[in-house]
Amino acid sequence: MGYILHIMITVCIYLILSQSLNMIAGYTGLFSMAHAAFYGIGAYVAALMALQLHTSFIVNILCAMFLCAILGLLVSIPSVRIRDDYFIIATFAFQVIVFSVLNNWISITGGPMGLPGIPQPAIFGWVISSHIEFLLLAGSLATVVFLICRHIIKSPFGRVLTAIREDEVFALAAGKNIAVYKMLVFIIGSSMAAMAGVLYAYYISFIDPTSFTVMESIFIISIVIIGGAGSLWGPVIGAVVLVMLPEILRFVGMPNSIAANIRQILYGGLLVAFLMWQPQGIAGKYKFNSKHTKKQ
Amino acid sequence: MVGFAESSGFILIQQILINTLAQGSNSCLLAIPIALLCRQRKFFDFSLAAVFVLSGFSSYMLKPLLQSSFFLWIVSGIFFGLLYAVLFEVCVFRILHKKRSGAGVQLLASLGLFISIQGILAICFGNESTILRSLQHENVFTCFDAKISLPQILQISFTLLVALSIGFLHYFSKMQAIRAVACDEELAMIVGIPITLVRIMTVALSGGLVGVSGVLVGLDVDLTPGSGLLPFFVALAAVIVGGMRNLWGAIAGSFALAFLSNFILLFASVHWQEPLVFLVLLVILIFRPRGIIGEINSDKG
Repeated sequence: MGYILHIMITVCIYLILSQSLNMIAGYTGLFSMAHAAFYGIGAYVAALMALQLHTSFIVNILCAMFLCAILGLLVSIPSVRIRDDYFIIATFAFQVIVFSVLNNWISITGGPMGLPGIPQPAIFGWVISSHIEFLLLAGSLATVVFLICRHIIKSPFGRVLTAIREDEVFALAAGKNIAVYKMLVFIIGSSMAAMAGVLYAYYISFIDPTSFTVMESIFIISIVIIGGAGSLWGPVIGAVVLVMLPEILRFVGMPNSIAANIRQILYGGLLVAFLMWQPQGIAGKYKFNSKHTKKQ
Repeated sequence: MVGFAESSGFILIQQILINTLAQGSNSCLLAIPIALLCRQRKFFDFSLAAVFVLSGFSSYMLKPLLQSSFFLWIVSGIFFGLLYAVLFEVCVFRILHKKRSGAGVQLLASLGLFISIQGILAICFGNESTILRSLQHENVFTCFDAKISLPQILQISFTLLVALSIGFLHYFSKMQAIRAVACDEELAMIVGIPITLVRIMTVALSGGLVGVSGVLVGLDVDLTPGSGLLPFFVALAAVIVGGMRNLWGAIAGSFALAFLSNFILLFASVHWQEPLVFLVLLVILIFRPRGIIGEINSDKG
């Protein structure tokens, strides 16, 4: 039972991550490789505050989201001047910088040794100690993120985001300040990723930089693309499929020593296959294979 | 005491210059094919990082045949690099190109390809470092007062050869065809240039250079399944710093970044070398996306 609950909690965390990246990449067309960086910053901020300042879970989650919102604003600045692969490279550089800082600023982050002993979260006196309680928390937060995303997408703000993805010049000609919209969606997405990071830190109770590498960013992108970018249910399906798939391999009798590598081969291969033959993903509405993205 | 300090400082500067030359040469061997391929494909191809490690590990499998001949190692690097790059082109990028996929999509596909290859190599060879040749420290020479290894001398010589070749390549009709396809593929097709052949030729040329780079790095230090990403990214940064449309810019960018990363060591720990180089890349992308020397496609800057 504990194992199934663990899988469900992991799915909820990746659901928040993929849903927030879907806002940035799926609806606005900005492929960010820095999502694991925000996820990591969120986790480290919460862990450090819990361990050093002994602040509550709610304060930590708000602080982590605020800090990532500011950093998201900074990272989104290049999106005003550069596009496509150049933007991917810029966010990739940010991801590498964040990982290096987490890995090398030993006095603060603990470096490769990480930060152990993160206490159990408590909300207004309710200490979340069991798997089922944590699933309730993670599930509630994932639902809140889903509803926020749905509200944003259905609002005029969301329609402008889609317009930017479809034709940036047209959106500009329609009088929309696309720079502000891009920055805003990046701020929202980054702060949501920080929320997932805080959940992860409290759930695992130990964090180290290896959980927030560039591979993690690629994994989150794979969830969005395979599930279906530009759709609310796409990342949900993607998160369930990609988190469950390596677990299924365990039952086939795959040795644990190569499980991580098999997972890597699987999602790398699936990413290539979907981009080649099913660019709209499993449940997506939009193809990302065209030079000018077209509605199906 | 002052004399000693002055002399040790002088030795340090010499070593920094030698390291810059070796590191810059190595970065050049990757930056030139990245720039060459990017001009044609219009995206940053991460599968070259896979070609880099695959060539190194494939040559390692032929170790008993190659023995201690550096020439054979280089030939093997060229062969495997060329083979894998053409294979990726035929199996993945040609299909995406035909479907008129955008730059971001092709970049993500190349990333997917890289991580799959990394996983396969990790299963076959393990995640530990693999030293291609156990002779790495036996051939260390002294140049003035600084130390330089034989693989580093080979890297510098090979890069010099490639850089000299670039000057002459412009006179060859095939190179002109490569440039024509890079500039305007449809127009090149109208004037009768065989597009597919030229694309394969460019990929093969780039793959060969990347393969040599992978083998030379493996001979100098070591290889892990994931070790292609960082050299690739440093070379990519060099291409962006130097300017996309200029192969000379890629060379200048490689040496500029190599000097910067070695110069940083005077003030900071080696751990901060990598993030500071990427910080420079980020700053250049924000303030001067066209690069310092060259120019890029107007729709990207």
